[in-house]
Amino acid sequence: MIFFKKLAGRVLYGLAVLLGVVTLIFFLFNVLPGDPARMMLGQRADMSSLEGIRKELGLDKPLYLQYIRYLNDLSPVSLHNSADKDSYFFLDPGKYKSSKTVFTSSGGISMVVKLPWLGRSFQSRKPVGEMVSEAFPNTMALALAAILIAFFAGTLLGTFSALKKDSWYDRGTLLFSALGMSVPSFFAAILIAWFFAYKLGHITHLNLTGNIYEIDDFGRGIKLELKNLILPAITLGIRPLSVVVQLSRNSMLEVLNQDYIRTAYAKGLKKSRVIGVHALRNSLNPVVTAISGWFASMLAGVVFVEYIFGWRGLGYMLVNALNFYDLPVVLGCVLTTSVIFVAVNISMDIIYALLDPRIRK
Amino acid sequence: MAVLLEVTGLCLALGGNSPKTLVNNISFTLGEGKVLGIVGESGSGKSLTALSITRLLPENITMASGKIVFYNLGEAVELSSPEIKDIRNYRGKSIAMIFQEPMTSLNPSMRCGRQIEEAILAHRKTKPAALKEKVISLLHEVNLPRPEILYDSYPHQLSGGQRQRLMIAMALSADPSVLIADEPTTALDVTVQKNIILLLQKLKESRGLSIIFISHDLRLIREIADDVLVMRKGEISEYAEAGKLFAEPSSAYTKGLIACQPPLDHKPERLLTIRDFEMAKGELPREERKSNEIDYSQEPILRIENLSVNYSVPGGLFSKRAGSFKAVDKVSLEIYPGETLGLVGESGCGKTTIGKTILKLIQANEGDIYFRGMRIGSLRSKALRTFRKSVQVVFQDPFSSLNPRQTIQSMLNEALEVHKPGLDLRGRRDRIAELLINVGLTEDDVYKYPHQFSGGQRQRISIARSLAPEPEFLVLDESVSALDVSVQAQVLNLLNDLKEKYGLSYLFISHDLSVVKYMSDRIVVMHAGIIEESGDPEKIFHHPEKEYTRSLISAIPGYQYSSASTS
Repeated sequence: MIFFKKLAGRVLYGLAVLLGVVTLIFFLFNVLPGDPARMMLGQRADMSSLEGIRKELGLDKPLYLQYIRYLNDLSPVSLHNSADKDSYFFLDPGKYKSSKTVFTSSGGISMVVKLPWLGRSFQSRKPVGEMVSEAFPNTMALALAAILIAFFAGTLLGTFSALKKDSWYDRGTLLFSALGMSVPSFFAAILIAWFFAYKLGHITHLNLTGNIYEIDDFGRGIKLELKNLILPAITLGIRPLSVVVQLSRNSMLEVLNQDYIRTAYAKGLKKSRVIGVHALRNSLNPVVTAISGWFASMLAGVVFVEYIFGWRGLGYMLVNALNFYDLPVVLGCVLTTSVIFVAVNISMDIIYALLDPRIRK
Repeated sequence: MAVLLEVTGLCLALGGNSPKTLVNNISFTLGEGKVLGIVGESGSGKSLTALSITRLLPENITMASGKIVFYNLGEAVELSSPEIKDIRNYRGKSIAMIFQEPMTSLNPSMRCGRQIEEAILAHRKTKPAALKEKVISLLHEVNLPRPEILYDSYPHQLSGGQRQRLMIAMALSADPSVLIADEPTTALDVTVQKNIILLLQKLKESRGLSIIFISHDLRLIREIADDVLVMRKGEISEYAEAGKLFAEPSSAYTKGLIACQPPLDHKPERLLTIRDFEMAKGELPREERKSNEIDYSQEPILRIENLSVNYSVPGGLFSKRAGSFKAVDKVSLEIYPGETLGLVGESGCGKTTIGKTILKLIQANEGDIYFRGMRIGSLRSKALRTFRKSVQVVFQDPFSSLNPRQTIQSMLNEALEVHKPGLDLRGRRDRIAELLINVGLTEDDVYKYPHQFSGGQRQRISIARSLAPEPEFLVLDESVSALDVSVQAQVLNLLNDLKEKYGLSYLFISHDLSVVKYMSDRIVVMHAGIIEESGDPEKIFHHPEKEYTRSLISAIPGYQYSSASTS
């Protein structure tokens, strides 16, 4: 019961964080020099078309009104004017995908329950929510693949390193993990793309760029291309892999020195069981913590890797949106990221408690 | 008497190329149903000797020579022979072990029941239903309450004593004939220690178990052992039957070891040390300590009034604090000039909290502390500095309480610069030399770093540091608890000398009743945040008013052998 109470507290706290993020991005963005309307129409546009676009996008309204409307659209429960067509808060029946009007007052103020609405892209006029939900699975797949590679390969290499401490294997692993940590991801991305997809392309048959789903060569439909995941996932996994190797090695060494390992041997257990059951599980705690934080930041979109491999995830989308001053898309991306962070943090607390009974009460 | 285990000429060495001998030529036998006590100070090699029996030595330590023979149902098995490929079959099954730290000796992320089951399964295939039944009966056997609940608990949910019982249950799970107990009670409170000893004695009777009991505490060994092996620096100092060893110890080391623990029945002027026995020519001084005349009509140097200190208890998941815990509950006491007040109690009783509150390291929630009539809570800037100069502390752990990157010179210099700004460079240097000589170190030690000293020397440095600002009052918070008994005796003597020399007053905090009794003019017994009783040491020892005090005193190892128990 206390658990749920605390969980509710954490969720409320998370919502406060989200509000803060939206507010910050919204106002920061408007401080930047640049004009979305001009980005859309180009340098030669005349004043009247610019004015028209600004009016259409609501950019002619005072900033605070724009902010309030954004929040109103975002909130699952919102107030609208359903009588006055010219009102900034007019309830356009086609605007929200699924909405339900709870009540309408005599003055034409109606209260609506709906899914959060992120607005439309300035650039493509597509709803931002749709764009995010198209991009997110791509990022998710990439991050998940990278983190799984890092976790499994990393703990395996690290644990062996610890068990064979000071051997040539241990030294070699440490050297490579140091290298892996220090290579910048954009450099590794270019190097890997060039070497495996271009130089060895005839052997590997991997593409320089590509997504999970590609439109097939005859334009007849989309097909799954899992092989396109390989290179970006490895690129992205290099660093966490290197960190996990060192982390799990050190953690394992520390655990092997613990008294309970001696107890386990004194009981007459087999070495394999002492290592596999008693040592490994306890050595994983710091690894899980590190990897979860990393995973969360990967879900936020991995800008360089996605950009270089042309992977249409959140990072790719964010870079494009920033290029075009596409505020709703930027806000949508950042907000998604923040929701992920908050959610991952809360779930990590829960997972951690399940792994380590001492944290539970 | 049938012999179960025979160790002959055991030598253990550290490292490969130029090995350093850690244990040299140790031989002993363990008879069936007997308890062999191995006693020695830190570094004597007693634990290594025990670990070598089932080949649990750390990787860098090897057995250079010697023979370990275990008589398995009358059949001799040489455990040290390379022919024994799977020592695993003897670990736990024939020879089981329990260790010093019950806190860290259990896997924190595995349920207690599971840890015992695992030990059973390592040696015998058992069906799940029978397995649980066996675990529960083992938990019953070691007197653990509510075995069904413990079965599903994690180790951190148990108290220290319960964990050690669990360890014992685990050790018994494969019905071994030998139990090696390596300092099994050192981390526990005296009353808990007493119960563990009683349990081991019971198991010895009921199961015919043979026990190797390793301890640094000779009095504890006396309570349980049939034979005693005294070790010193890796060698045998004396090996004899217990009654004989305590009645007429033959080696000077054993004599010193017996004498350097503060006696319960009288109060010698100085505690004898091992060195005294080794250097002795003829009779040793046996002067009794005259009782310290203290004028209790004068203003106390320190007065505590209704002190309460609360700690917030961290809650579980997500929350920073859940509730609060009263560490000290409405405690009042006074300490008079020239007095040593002994504050004694078991872990968690609030004695250290009181010390820290006096030092203004933590805030009192209620009540006041007056030092020479000034309320310390209201002290600011200059007055506070004067207060800090007058009240100093010596902590328990001589290893972690000194900054490893600071030379002794800079450590003491720092204290002098803050509290004695009037001294010039030369004056400070003279003062440092004087301090070091007064605590029994030499002038040449000033340029050394803490790691170059032994535990006892470090504690002397801590004392020198605390004396640097010329305090009037010292808080000695378990200041001798981490030291070996022979070193402890030296430091206790030093503290008494310094007190006389500088006219100090002490608050002597300790869990060790015999030390507190020896040092103090008055004793305050604490339990669960409140004062149980206080008064003259002799009165408290011979006529305790409270049941708690009585149980504390009777739990002192070797109490039954002192004449104090009969009077």
